[in-house]
Amino acid sequence: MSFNRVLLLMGKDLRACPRSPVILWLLVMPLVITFFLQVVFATLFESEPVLGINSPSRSVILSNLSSLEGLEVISAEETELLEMLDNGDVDAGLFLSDSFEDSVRSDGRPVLRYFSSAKGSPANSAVLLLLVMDELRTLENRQNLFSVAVIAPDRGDELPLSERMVPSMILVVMIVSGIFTPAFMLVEETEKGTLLAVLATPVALGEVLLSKALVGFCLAMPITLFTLVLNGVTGFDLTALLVCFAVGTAVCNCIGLIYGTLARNSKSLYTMVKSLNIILAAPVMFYLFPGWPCWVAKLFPTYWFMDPVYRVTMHNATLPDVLGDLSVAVVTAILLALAAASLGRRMQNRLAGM
Amino acid sequence: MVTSVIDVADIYFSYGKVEAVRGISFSMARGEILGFLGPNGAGKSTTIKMLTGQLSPRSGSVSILGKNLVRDDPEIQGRIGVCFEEKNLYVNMSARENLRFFAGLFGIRNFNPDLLLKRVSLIDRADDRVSSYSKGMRQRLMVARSIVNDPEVLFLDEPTEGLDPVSSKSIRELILEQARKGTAVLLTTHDMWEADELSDRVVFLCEGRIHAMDTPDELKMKYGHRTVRVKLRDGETVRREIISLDSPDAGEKLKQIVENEGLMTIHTEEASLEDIFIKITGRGL
Repeated sequence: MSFNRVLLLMGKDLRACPRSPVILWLLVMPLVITFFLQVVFATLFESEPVLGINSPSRSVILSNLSSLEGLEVISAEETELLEMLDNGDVDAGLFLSDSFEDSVRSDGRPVLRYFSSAKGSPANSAVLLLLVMDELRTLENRQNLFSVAVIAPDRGDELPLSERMVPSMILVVMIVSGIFTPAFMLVEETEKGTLLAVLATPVALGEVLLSKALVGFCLAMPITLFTLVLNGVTGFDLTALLVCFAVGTAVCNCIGLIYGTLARNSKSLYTMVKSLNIILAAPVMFYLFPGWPCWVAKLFPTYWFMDPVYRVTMHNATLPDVLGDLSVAVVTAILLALAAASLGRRMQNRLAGM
Repeated sequence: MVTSVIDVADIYFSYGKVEAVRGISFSMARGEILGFLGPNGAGKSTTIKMLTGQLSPRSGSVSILGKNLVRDDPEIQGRIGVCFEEKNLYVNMSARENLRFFAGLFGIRNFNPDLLLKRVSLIDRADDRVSSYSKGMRQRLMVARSIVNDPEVLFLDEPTEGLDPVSSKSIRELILEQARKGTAVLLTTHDMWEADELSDRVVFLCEGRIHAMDTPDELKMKYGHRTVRVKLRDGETVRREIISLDSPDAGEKLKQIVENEGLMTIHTEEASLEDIFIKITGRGL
């Protein structure tokens, strides 16, 4: 094994990266995943209450409610606000006449026009009503009967859905960069026949496989880390996380090599990725549904690096805490590498026309 | 004493039940060009694959440069060059990058690709991507790549197939130049004329067996008919005659014709390799 030749092969693949659609997708992927998580899981399921107000411009209620945090206030004309209520653009609408606030101050007991949107969140609507009531008591100059604070329901140890998505996000990044990159590069070389030309030189098949795995490793590590940071997952033990990523990426690279040596062409590689990645991604379900029995997840090779990543990023685990699981992942990587080497020999025979 | 650079002894290979090579033996000397001729499926490419270490013979032995060939032997592979039938170049790289990359794999330091690119007349397009090259340019680059390490043994699988006459000629010149430098060249081709022009010896391969192996001239002498074709004016008519040089009275007949005042044209004819191939193997290329 010549390290110089491995470096040469890696350099050639890395130089070809900007022309590869797979690599371009890798660069865009963290942004797409972040967008997906933030839009779907952060805004849709955990959105702020939105209150629409139609009131005179110098309204004290409007001014006070606008200054509150964790609440979005939209000032609108009457017809416009009615439309927004119909569409569910606001959770609730408050209509205040010009004399409403003066009437409240003089104990005139005016009628409060407060509408809940049928398409808005009922919980948000209830919160908004309580906030409006609180403001009216203040305006009346009476002692508040209650104070309103928005408190998330107690989930115990269970994390919000957006955070439970982190392991699946990491797996997606690792599958694309760690598995697909070496597999795709290997299949591309076999399809174009360039692998035969390389193997007619002093380069050994093992050097080719190692170089593909290392290219996948070099791309997957920073991209995965970047995706985590982009999603605001910070404050973890960086050393522990890097070790977890390194081991996880190595496992993925070996799986990628197995894919690459088994696939006869890019079409069969895509079929393989589509069908087999469901099995690899199965442990994700156990994070989304924590009530499921965890021992089932341990049957999958990806669990042994996913769980350490999850614990380090979500529960501030340190390296000694996850060392046991990582050891299993290392053994898995070694076994997969041996399998890839054996399958590589079969691939070489196939290429030679056997 | 002539030292063999390739010694092949009774090698055999089959793809499942299909016997591709059935016990062939030959040897090659330094600087020799050996033409491997045969129709599709004759076993030419399988033989090259066994000689370059891509396939291991089921039986028999191959010795290259005095060393028993085993699969993936970096020492042997560093001393041989292979030009595949398939155009397996890195098309997203330039010619210069392709040559530099392969030189690196052979461990050649301070490699200057320009000398080689000049030899194959690609220096003007050295920095263009190979994807923009014509078929002939790609083939010239393939041959250039196969000699990047200045090999002692060169395997060329159909190097001029489907090329225009100019590209074919430049590749033939390169092969001859390489042989003059002492490289043993094993060449497979369908083109009998090319084999005749280039080869010191030719091998007729058919159905995995060697049917004949000799110099082109010897094969022609042994299996061909030497004839003289003449055209004579005989009064108002023109008479054509073919005289076999192998007949006992050939000398006498030729003397009479030359002395004939009506002699218009006289041509000697020898059998082509193709004729001999058909005669020996019973089938064409």
